[in-house]
Amino acid sequence: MEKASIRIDGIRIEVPKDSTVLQAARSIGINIPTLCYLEGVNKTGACRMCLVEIEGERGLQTSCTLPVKEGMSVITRSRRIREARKENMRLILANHNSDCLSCSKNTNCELQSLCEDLGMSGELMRMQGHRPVDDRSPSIVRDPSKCILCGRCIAVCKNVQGIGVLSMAERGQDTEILPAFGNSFEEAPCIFCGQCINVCPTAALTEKSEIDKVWEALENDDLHVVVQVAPAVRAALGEEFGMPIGTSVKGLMYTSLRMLGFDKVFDTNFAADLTILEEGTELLDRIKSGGKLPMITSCSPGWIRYIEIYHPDLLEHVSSCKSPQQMMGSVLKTYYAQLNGLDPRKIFSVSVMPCTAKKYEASKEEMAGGHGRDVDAVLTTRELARMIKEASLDFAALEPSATDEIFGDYTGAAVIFGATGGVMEAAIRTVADILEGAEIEEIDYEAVRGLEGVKEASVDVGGLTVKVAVAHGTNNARKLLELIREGKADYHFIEVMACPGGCVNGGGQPYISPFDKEKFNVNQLRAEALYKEDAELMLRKSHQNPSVQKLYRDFLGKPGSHKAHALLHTSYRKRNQF
Amino acid sequence: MSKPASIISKNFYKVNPDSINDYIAAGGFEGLKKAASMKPEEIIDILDRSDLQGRGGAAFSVAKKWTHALRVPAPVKGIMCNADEGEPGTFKDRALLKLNPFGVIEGMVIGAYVGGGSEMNYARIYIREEYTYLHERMRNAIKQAEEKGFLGKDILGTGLNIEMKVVSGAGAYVCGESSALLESTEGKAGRPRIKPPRLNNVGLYNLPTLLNNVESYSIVPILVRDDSEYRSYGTEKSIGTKMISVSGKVKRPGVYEIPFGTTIREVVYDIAGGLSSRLPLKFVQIGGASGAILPASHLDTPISYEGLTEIGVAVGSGAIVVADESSSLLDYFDSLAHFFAEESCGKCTPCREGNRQLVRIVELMKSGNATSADFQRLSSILKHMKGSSFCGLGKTEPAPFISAIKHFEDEIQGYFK
Amino acid sequence: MLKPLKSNTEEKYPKLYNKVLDAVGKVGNRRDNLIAILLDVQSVSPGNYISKEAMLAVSEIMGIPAQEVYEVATFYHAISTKPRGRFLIQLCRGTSCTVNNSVNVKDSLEAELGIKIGSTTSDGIFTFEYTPCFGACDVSPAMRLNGRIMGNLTQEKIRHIICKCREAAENE
Repeated sequence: MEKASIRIDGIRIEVPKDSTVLQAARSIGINIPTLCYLEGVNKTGACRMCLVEIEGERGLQTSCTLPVKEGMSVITRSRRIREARKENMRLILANHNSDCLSCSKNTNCELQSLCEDLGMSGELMRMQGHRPVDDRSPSIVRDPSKCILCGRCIAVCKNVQGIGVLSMAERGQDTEILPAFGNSFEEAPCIFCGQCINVCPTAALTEKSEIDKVWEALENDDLHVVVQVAPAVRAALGEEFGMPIGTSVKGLMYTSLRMLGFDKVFDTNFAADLTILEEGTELLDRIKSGGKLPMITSCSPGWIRYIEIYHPDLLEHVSSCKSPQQMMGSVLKTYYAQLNGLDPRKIFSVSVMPCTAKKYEASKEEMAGGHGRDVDAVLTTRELARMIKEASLDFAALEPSATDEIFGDYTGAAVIFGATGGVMEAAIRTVADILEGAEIEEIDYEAVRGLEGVKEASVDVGGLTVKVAVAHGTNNARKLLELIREGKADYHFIEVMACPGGCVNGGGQPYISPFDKEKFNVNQLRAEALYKEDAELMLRKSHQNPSVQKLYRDFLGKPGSHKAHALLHTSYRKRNQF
Repeated sequence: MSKPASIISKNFYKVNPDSINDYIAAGGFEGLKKAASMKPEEIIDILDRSDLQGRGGAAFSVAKKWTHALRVPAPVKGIMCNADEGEPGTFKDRALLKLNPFGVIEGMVIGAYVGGGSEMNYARIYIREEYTYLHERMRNAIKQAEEKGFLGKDILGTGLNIEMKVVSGAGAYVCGESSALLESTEGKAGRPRIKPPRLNNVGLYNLPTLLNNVESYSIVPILVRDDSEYRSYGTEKSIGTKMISVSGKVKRPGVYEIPFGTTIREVVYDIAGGLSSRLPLKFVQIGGASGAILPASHLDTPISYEGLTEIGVAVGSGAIVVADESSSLLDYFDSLAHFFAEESCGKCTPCREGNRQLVRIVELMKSGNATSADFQRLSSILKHMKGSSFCGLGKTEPAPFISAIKHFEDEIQGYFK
Repeated sequence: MLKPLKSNTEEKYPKLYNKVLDAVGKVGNRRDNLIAILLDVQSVSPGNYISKEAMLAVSEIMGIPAQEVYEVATFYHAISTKPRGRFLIQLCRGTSCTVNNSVNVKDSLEAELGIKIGSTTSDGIFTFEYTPCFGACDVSPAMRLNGRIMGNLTQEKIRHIICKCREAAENE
């Protein structure tokens, strides 16, 4: 890459020719402030925070959009610029709901941080009236009073996910970012992946809170409250308490849940192993009897909603298995209740997920049975952190502990579900042993790991070449679906995760600032925590899970049994949006 | 000097605007025929010696712009005519579209000849929706020009190909901004684009594009055909004539063509017949809604680039709005603030939020509740909008407010407690 | 990019769907014709506006995501997503009209129509709103009546115009 020689604040540097002034400045530690800019996602020059002076040119220009030019001299710090930044911030704040103290992003908000950095002082103008909050959907809440119209949400939905639910409607002071026609997110063709929440600098987009619901259940002596935690949560929860990205806080997490008052603390990983048995059986069945191939995973509810809305003609490919969250929910209210002589109606089942779509999934009509709803409330990783803080627990100082019996037991195959490629790898480990009729030793399938958008692999076992593909982010999923339509997808099995990076980057995970996103490969670090745990466990194949074996022996019979189908499988339908 | 000239408006009311034959009989398309025998650089020289400036308000040398276009050779290009004319008080392009549509077409063809694409040119005349009654006339003119071979394939045997269409606006002043105009032409919301790249390199449908105002295009064929009369008018630094629109409290509002150098006084009193009321003149606004507001003491300023620059003002679109003593600046501010607030595209913070606060402050002024702190706010906001807005709308909007505050300090301060 | 979703507009609103097909057919099914098509459909729609169903039909027929159609429709002043009266009266609030006392015209119209500017009469006949300068400054104060320019307005003229409108509405 050719270099260009420029000067920034008098410092001479060489940068790649295709850099922007912003990138050049940041490369030498001059963190020009930005709000609407998000590397790789949004570059519109709209917020005007990143203005710089170019020597010899009139007027200020946005450094995020300005390409470097040989010999350019940039000034990022002058009285004019400092005043412009403050004035700009004053204008943003004049139309912003500044009730920070009661806001869920208090101390974790980019607008707040920037105000601090700019040294805002003096009396600020207050917002004059605002539009109402839209909390009609089960997963995502939109608060226009906190929106600074940066447009990142529109960009991530349209360009990264390839969906584009949000419009920048109207113009001037009436400009509003919302689903078309002012629909709720549920009426809109939104898949609830929550990527928009993950890029929102303020609390304009947040998850629908179920914290109060859970407190109420915990404080209700009549109810037996149980909780399951997804694998991706343990790899990120620590970040909410200042721990480095990628720290696994499994033990602390379990303890904190107990201290919050949950009667039993379980792990979704148990159900992940269960899912592999059901889904592996389903796959082998389809391969043997000429069923619809490729089969596609079904544990990502954002993905399910995506295919139901956008590609309903391909629904037959999707596995009929419920997600681990829902399987766990069913099992707890039937088998677990039975084992412990509990009335399922008195069991309140909570899950902690890295995901916002799981809230929607748990609320789906079909996710229930004679035992009531599979799952009664879903908390995101962020919500759990808030509850831990509300309970005044010093998270880091807790004594790590383990889960309760049976439904917290899991193998290494389960824990990697949280990373893209994890479900596939787990499935291969089991399917390979079954096909081979023996215990295969080499079970690290590197080909399906990593952050490439679409990954492929083939495994030769039992005389069969099993071909698989993995996609994460709906834009990549679409590529595979198009291949299927064209008849060019000669895979047996496909894993799709709605969120880029997999569940570790779910819409419910701790918020990472753009600066940290540029410095750290967050998805990789979080995924590494999961792969590390997998590597250190004794049992690393789902079918080796003794508690899952017990579940089948005592209760379900065998994978794919009638009872298994009733409790652990579901169906899909075309969804008409608009 | 105070007699209106008749060069750009030569055909007004004399030549049937619906007949290409009448236009040709009056010398129409002679400029194009002459251009077809010249080199592009020679044509640019002609424009340069008249120092023709863009007539939409930005006043960028047409010769320079067309030279830039020449320096970006491409097989396919865009040729845009900005007929959005949204500037309040401005209706001179309306007259040109209504009374001399073929002149616009001829100018665009010459533009394509000089700086257009070697294989194809997509020409679009973007006319504001509010002039919908003029769309059909222009479409008809285009059809006739096609029939006569002045548009379409291999025009006058030069190998030039142009496909020309009328595109309608839909009520957005911001679409008068070049890049927003392109967005709108492409069927999108009219929000300005990031620059660089400039539209000379990436414009309509991402093609290199030439864009000029209606009046600019109208003048080109006249100069190419014979610029001697045009050059006999004007001042040392502002050659020729300009179309202006006069309105407000004058006896004879309308579109006039004046030689550069005509003073504001001459326009108001000689050409437009003086004030329509008994009250004395209080202020004039020159150049459109984002033009300066000047008191009566400045009436002897000549309307020319150097004459107005000397008092820190721009020619702009050539609109002159005249107000008498019965007009309060508060009402005027109200009109301006609401106009810009309504027209702001909403993309950038300074303009969107600046206008929100501007309207709020004007409302406070109206209700008598504005304080000196609000005046400070107003000044800071105007300064910020001028320096930090994304596009020309926000950048030029503060001009009338700042000039009014300067020239009518007492009255304005009187609205703040 | 995704193909837009198919809604059930064709079966539920066949007349509207056909109106959109006609509008598209007139100028050609290309993205840059979106604004012209929206204006056209609006002009033949009762209520003189673009409904959600119309936007969905346009989205389907033109292959443009509904979110983009919505964005364009709500951006432009000349396109309304809310129904308007039989007669749309748009009063200019521009600089010339202000100087020429458009406020008197506003007061007269409010009195004649019995509504405040920015609203529609309860019988749905008149919608009265401000509009930015439409370049008729030489005949200020001016207004647009269903797009037609009416200038040099006086109280007399206004009364006459409104009367004629009411007559026309009655005869329909």
